[in-house]
Order: sequence, then C-alpha cells, then structure tokens
Amino acid sequence: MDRMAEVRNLYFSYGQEPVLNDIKLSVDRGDFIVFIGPNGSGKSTLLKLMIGELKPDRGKIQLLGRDINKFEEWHRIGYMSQQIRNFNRSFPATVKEVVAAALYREMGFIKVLNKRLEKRVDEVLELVGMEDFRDRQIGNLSGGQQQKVFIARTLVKEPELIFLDEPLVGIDLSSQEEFINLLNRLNQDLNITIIMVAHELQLIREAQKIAYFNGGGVLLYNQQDFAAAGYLNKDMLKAGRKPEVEYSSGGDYDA
Amino acid sequence: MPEVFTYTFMQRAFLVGNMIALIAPLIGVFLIMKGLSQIGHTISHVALAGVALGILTGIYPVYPAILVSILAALGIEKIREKISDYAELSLSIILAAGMGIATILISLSDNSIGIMSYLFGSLTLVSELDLMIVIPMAVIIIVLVFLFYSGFFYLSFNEGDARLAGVPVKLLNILFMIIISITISLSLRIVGGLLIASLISIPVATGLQLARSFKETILYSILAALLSVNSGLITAYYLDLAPGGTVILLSVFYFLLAAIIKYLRERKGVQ
Repeated sequence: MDRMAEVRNLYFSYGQEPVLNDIKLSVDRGDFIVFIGPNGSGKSTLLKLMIGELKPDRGKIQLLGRDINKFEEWHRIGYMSQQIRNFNRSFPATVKEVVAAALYREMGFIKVLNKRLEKRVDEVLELVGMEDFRDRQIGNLSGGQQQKVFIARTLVKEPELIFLDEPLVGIDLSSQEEFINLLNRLNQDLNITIIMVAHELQLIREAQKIAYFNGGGVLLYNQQDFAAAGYLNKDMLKAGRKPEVEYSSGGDYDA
Repeated sequence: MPEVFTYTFMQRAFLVGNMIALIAPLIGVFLIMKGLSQIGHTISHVALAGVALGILTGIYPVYPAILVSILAALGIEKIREKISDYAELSLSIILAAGMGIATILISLSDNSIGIMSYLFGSLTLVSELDLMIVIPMAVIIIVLVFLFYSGFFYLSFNEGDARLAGVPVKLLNILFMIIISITISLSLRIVGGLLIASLISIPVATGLQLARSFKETILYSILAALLSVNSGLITAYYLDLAPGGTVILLSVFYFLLAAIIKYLRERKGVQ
C-alpha cells in the first residue's frame, strides 16, 4: 500500500514540558484518520510537526516517502489550521482571490491567475457549494461558509494528503453535516487521505481509524474496534478516558 | 497652460510625485494588510539618518538613504522572524536609534536647508538626478509587485499557509522589505521623511472604504494617492505651503470623504 506519511520515534516538548513521547504512526493512501484525546495531549502539535511548522526534538517524519526536512512537494499537501478563521475580518479579499492564491506554484512566471487556473477555482468552489459566493468578501461570510472557502483553498491545489485541525469548531450544526459529507466524498470519491483533529462524535464516527492521544503517546484503532469498545460515547470522550481496547489491526503503534 | 505646470521644477515635482503616488500605496496595501504599518514609520526615520549621512559626506542623499534603510529593513525582518513577541518593541528601538543618529548627523552638518527638504518634502529641490533615479526604480517596483502579486497577496493574508502553497516566504519577505526601503527613500523628496509613512497608509485606508476586493483596494488606494499628490502639489504651490503637509492633509480629507461614502452606501444597503 502507498505510504503517505510515517512518524517514527518522535519526541517533542514545549520548553521543559514533554508533549509527545516516542510516537509512531503510519498513514496509507486513502486513510481517514481522526486524532482524539484530551486538551493538551499533543494532537494539534503532531499535526504541526507533520506539516513542518514545528521541529521535533527527536525522531523522524516522512511525507510521501521523503524526509520532512528534504520535502519540497508542499503542493501535494493541504493543511487547515485551527487558527485559519482567525484572519483579519476586514481583509478586503474576495472568495475567489483567497482560493486562487493557493495556486501560486502553478501560475507560471507572472504570479497572477490565468483562464485555466480560474476554471479550477470555479470548479473547486462548485465542489464545496460556494460558487455563488466567488465575488463576495470573505470577511462578510458566516463561519460555515468561510470554512468551506478554506477547504476549497486547501483542495484547489489537488492535494493527496490533507491535514485538518478541528475543522468543525464554530460551525453551526447544519453546516457541520454538509462539511462531513464533503469530507466523505473527498476521501471516498477522490481518494484523498485525510488526517484531522476533532472532538465531534459525528466526525469520529466517519473516520476509518482513530488515533487516541493520552499522556504523550498515541494508540491507533480501527473504527470497528473503537466502536465495539463502546467508546463512541460523549461522556467518555469529554472525560478524556483511555479506550478499553488496546489492540488495533489497522496499524503499528503505540506510545 | 496653468502657471503651475510651466515651471520645469514643478514638472519634475509632478513626475516624481506621481511615481511615488503609484508605488507608495501599492506597497502600502500589502504592508498594512500584513499588520506591519509600524515598519513604514521605522524605516522612514532610519532613512533620514541615511540622508543626513549623505549630506554630511557630500554623496547624493537618496543613495545612503536606500542603503541604510535596506540594512535596517533586513534587520527588522530578522527580528520579526526570530522574536515576534517583541517585534513592536524592536521597531521602536530601531526607530529611535535611526532618529538619534539622524539628529546627531544633522547637527554636524551646516546644510540645514537640505535636511529640511528631506524632513518635510520640497518642490523646488527635485533635481534631474531625482528623476533619473525615481522613474526607473518605480518602474522596477511596479514590475516586481506584478510578477509576485499572488505571493505578496498570500503573505499578507496568511504567512503560514502561504508556505504550504509553495510561496517562497523568506525570499518574498526579504524582497518586500527591500521594496519598502526603496519606496520610502525615493519618497523623501516629495513628502519628506516625517510624512512618508502616512502616504503609504492613508490612501490605503481610503481604498479600504470603497473596495470590494483586494485588487480594487489597490486600485482605489493608488487613485486616492494620485489625487492627494496632484491636488496637494497644486495647492502647496499656489498657497506657498509645505508640500508634504499639504499632500497628507488632503489625503486625510479624501479618506474622510470615502468614509462618508461608505457610511451612506451601507445605510442604503448597497454592498
């Protein structure tokens, strides 16, 4: 199977505070993995390490078969950070301008949009159902609409692997459902590998694999094992309790 | 032809002024949307130290101004990259140091008129050499911004995400800092070191009132700057006022006008 990402013996600490200890994680093409666990357990930190925004204290990360330090094909990777919607609301850009910026690498010598790329922007806006908003200023849209624009911006590069950090936070319920359907389509129809941090049960239920973060380590479960353990229960999630099952047939990890 | 356009020195002032009115807000839009307007103030004060150095040593002042401000701008970029928590404080320190050096160098020089022309701007002192420098430099800046337009846009919107889109963040940030330094140094002649940061920011604020997209913001900001510089220079000539102050006050006036238009538009519900 095609290996999309691999984390080996990874250690990371914020100053004196250890966050991740000896993490191992393998991600194959077509995987849909959700990172769950209590606050401060290192979910977003691992995501940031995997896109090179943070540097590990020790250990190795590979993306698409290449060491992250030598990795250059960032156009094949999509990332939506938790802070993505903390942008300056009065920034005067339109939806089209924001999505188009992600096509920087493909713009040729002069970094402006041409007809071919403009068509791609239109197509991706259609995919996320935002085609009627292309000329609207992004700051004037609702949280759910902004999130769709940002996923469109992530997708316009046609990435093979996307990282999403809490994509449903601050989005109303009906938009959440649409967003989850969209993620499913991306994963199943377009075979895009998805890794995301989430707290929402409905999102966790959609994932094939669940990576549980606790006390510096990560345990990976298949959806079936996870569900069988009765762990898909809001109270348990909130309490941040460790799942009872200890084995995963889906991968090779533990902490 | 009106009298104001018949004098060679005024023709030069208009030419240089209009070039500055094109590049100052063009850079300003990116600078302000990046939340770095303080950098404009800092570099303009450091550039004054370069001017003073030039006058003291007899070198054409725009050259040392460009050199000193580029060095300061690259230093600022390094600070911004490494210690972002104290970036504002660092800017204040660099601004103070630049102004301190400028003051000392000015006190050592006996050419106070020359210095004053760079502090407040001057119409009569725009030379042939100024033209020869400002026009090609401005053209280069416009071409560079056009070439890397989407990169600069993405850097202003979100630097972290820009990297993932393949934007050469470090390179473009350095290029941007060099462009700002050159723009500021070139603008000293017309509006003066104390007011150039305003010419970079106020027309942008005006553009933001009226625009519905980033491109429109650039367009309206440039139009506001062109209007401010031309009406400012004409007013300054006929009323014998300092050109820098006149240009800036008029740009504030146009900003207020744009803000009123925006208010009326929103009241009518036209967005």
